[in-house]
Amino acid sequence: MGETESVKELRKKVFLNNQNVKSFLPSIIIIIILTVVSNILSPGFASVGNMMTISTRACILAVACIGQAYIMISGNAGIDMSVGAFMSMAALLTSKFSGGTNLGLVWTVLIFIGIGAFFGFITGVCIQFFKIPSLVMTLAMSSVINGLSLGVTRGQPQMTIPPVLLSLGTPVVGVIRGMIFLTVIIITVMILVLHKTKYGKSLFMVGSNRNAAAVIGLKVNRIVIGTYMISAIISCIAGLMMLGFVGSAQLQMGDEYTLLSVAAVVIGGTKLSGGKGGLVGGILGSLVLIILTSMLTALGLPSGVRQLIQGTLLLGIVLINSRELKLRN
Amino acid sequence: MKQRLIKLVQWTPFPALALLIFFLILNQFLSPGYLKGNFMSSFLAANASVIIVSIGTSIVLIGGGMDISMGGLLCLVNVVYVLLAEAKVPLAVCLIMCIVIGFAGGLLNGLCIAVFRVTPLLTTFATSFVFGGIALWLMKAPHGSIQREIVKWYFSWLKGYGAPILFIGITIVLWLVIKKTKMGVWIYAVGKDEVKAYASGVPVRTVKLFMYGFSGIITGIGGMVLTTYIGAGDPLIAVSYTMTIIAACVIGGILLTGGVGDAIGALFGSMFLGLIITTVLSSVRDSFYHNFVQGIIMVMGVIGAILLSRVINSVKYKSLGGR
Amino acid sequence: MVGGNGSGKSTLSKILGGSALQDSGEVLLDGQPYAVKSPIEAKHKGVIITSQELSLLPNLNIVENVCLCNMDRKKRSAFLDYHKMEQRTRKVLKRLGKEHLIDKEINMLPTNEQYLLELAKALVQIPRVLIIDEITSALYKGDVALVKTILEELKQKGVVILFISHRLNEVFDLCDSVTVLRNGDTVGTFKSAELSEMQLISYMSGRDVTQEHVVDRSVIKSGDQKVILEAKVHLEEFDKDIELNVVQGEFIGVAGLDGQGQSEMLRTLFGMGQPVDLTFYGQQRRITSPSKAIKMGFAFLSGNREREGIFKERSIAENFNAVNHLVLNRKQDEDVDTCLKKNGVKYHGTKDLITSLSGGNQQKVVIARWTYTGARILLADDPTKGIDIQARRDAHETFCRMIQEGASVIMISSDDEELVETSKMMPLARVIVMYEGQIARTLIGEDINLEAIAASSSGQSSSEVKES
Repeated sequence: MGETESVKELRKKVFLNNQNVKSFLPSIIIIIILTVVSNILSPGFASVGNMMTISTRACILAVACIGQAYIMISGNAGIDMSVGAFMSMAALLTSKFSGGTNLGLVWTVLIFIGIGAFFGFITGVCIQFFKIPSLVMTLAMSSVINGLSLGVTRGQPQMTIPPVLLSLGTPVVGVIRGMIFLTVIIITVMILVLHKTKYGKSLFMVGSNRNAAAVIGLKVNRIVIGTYMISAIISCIAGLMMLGFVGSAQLQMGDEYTLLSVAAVVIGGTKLSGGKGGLVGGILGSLVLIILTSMLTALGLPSGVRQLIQGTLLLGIVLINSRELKLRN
Repeated sequence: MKQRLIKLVQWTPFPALALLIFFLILNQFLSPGYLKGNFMSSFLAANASVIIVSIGTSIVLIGGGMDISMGGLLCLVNVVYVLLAEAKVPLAVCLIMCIVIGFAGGLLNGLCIAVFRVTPLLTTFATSFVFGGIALWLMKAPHGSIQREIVKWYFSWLKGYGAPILFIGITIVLWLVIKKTKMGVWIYAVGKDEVKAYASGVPVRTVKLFMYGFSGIITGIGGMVLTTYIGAGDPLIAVSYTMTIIAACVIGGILLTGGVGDAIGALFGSMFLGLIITTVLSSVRDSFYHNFVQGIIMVMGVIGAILLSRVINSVKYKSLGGR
Repeated sequence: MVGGNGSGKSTLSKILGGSALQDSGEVLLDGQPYAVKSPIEAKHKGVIITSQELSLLPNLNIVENVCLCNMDRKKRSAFLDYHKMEQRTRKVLKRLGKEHLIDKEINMLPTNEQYLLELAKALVQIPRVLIIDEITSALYKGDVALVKTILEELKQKGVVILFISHRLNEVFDLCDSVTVLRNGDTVGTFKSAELSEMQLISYMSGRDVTQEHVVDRSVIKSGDQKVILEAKVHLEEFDKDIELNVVQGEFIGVAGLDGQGQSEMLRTLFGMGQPVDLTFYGQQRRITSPSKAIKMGFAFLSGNREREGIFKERSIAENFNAVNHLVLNRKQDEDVDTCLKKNGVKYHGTKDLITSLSGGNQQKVVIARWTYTGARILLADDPTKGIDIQARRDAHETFCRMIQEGASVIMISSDDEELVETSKMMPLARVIVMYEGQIARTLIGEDINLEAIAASSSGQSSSEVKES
């Protein structure tokens, strides 16, 4: 009886870890394997230049993952299907708002913060007060935002970009591009917000158990709505970064990032059910996905195959990661 | 009499039906002749596929599941149909293949969700890219066409009303049949509370496989109708349909939490949504803003439907002096 | 089958019913291995269980609910034979004396009728082995007598009945033998005729339960009674107002049948319903949200810890600190370990997930969460529901300590015995019995006993107290 007890205790005793180093190991291993394989299949893949490009791309995705992670942590099947739409919108409307100047960029960022806050607020209110599920609301919002972008730009690609954005894609210290520094700053700040502020800690509680959170006096509505606002704003920022990297803006260029951000966050260990997760996992997930996507592009595969593989990969990930308990439990 | 009236109002598709009728009457007044002539038949022809797939998806939602892969699957069915037609495959085989592809897609979803117990939301999110990816791979850009006879038949039979109504009718009849079997009750039970259904001896896994598989078949039918309507292949044609279908179901009184609603509601909801979108868009001159307006309409439709159902429910509890 | 919660009774019945898997061992039915993999297989073998959490589905009608496990089909077709199902349902409902329920909605029915429907659902499957998991605690005396008759009939027909209940007098009344479980082990099986209640209780708890908590009633003198809370709460459900006065250091037990407004009253006071105007420690306040209430010195404890108590993915420390750190912006005077030990929580490390603890210990953490917020009034909605006797006692001790430190406690309980016991522990106590949104009766001192509570619970006045 003594033995069974201690074995049982060991089994039950799970160490609290949002982000356990051990759980990152698979992602790191996959990154190494993918890089090696890609280099074999397409020589030159692992060159410094290419790796820098990949890292820069991964930065954009990593920032896009921030909002997605926050929303998933907030629980109640929170998911943000509008990440791509906000990114596209931010990329497309920058030239209109900034006129292509650096000073204009300052205004543009402020405007996007306003737009993100506005639409994020509406999304959050509809989800919290009208009880519209997160999936449906963010999906609907993405149609609205994409439609808005289409209407304002009249379908024309945008070319006038503030130089400072473009410089993000250029090396600043040695080979390391400006984008990477910017990303490190943004992610560090958002990690601190998530784990050290009252808001962040409350977010985990809200995500873990909405009812209990209300009972202990947390302002659940405010926290959730605030999270959707944050996600929209951050997605806009990610859109700016994307613009700086690509150099021009086209309709729906950010759409891909919606799927990728969900995949990266899920790879990184954040559960859709909420209450736990973090940003570091999302970073690793982003690297995995971008290396994979780059490999597919380098191999010259058509976009249909790329999409198919992305979808299959996500399917594979959730088959491992996101399974619910057996009913017989 | 009052009891009957109360029962009618509490019928979950009722709000959507009321909205639909109200809208049709309103338009008759504002622009008479609206319903006559080609408008209704061309509306049905254009929207039949969305209406059909909405009905299929509503069954999944009633069963407590979630499906956002319909758009991708429709694209795939379309592409396969056209490619087969281009390869001079007989019409009957093409049509059967539509259903088969639809079924296969639904089964993939069902397998992951029912057998491997993956979260439905994430599963169907992933499979939507799988289906869409295959469609894009098979057909990189819109081209091709299908057999002319069937296109002609679709638009001309019974003044253009016959074909859409036939397929929509088949779908509804299938649902009504299911409702009268054990599976019907089981779907509602599983949708309300999977665990309690399991404890009550309901074969939950089988029910889930069924509903996703069946919904896949319906999507196959919808894809068949869609392809007949556009007459050609387009790998991205239906990508935006998913949101419309979900919105239509919600407007039709289907609760996304499961166990509540009726597929007939999806019929009314999708017709109402389609009519509103068509009507509003025809008055928005700037075509570049059409998508935006459509998105807004869907958001408002969904909010309105949910609010309406809450109002009806609270009135119901008050009138019955419930607890 | 008896045993405290956490002893394994419900788990065992779920294993027998096919909805849970055992870790090891075997079950034999008629000498053959039972080995069922799902409730469907269990039902094929004639083993039927009723569920303590009710397996009724509110979106189906009564006929569908009762016949859900074995619906009839029309001959040689896939269509349902609704007529036959309705007949079967009528028959079983008649037997339970509840035929009039047939066209009602599940959600509209009171708890006791829902439990009877759960029983009907089981009976309609014609069980060979019937496992009844805690049905009687929700039934009125009349229903219990009817159930007893039905069970006797089944016994005559050779049906094996496994009766799980914490109502020991029923166990002695109905059962031929008693199996006692404790902490997942069988303590023993005894003939009920050869067992006394005291013996049974000590087998269940594994310790000598005869000692009572001795209360120093001299602590609060009559002149000390300072009214700290005056409130008028409006109950939406019953469209009635309740007036409540609470004295400092007072323990108010709230009794009454399920759903008579107790919970609504407490939750409204805490700010979870319509705004409430009240006077707290002499100050007029308007409570519009739990956060306001907490900042004023209120605390709320729910008995449904899964739904409203614990944060499953978080650590013990996070669960414990939640209110202080996130809402009140303060730190406890003592460190987490000291606080938890003081409240009797058994754990290994504060960074462990809260789910690594047993149910009783989880609830202790939840209680501890409030104990150190400096709360001046604790509102507890059936806080010890579903936890074992020892943890219950510990919880009561904590409440007592809080009272001695100057707080007041209002505790709802569905267990009349608990109210009687706890009242005896407190220096200043009264029990209010609620019925249909009103305080039917207030009991003090000697009047706090099971009979008085039971009588007032069903709306009778004291002169109508009858022994059934």
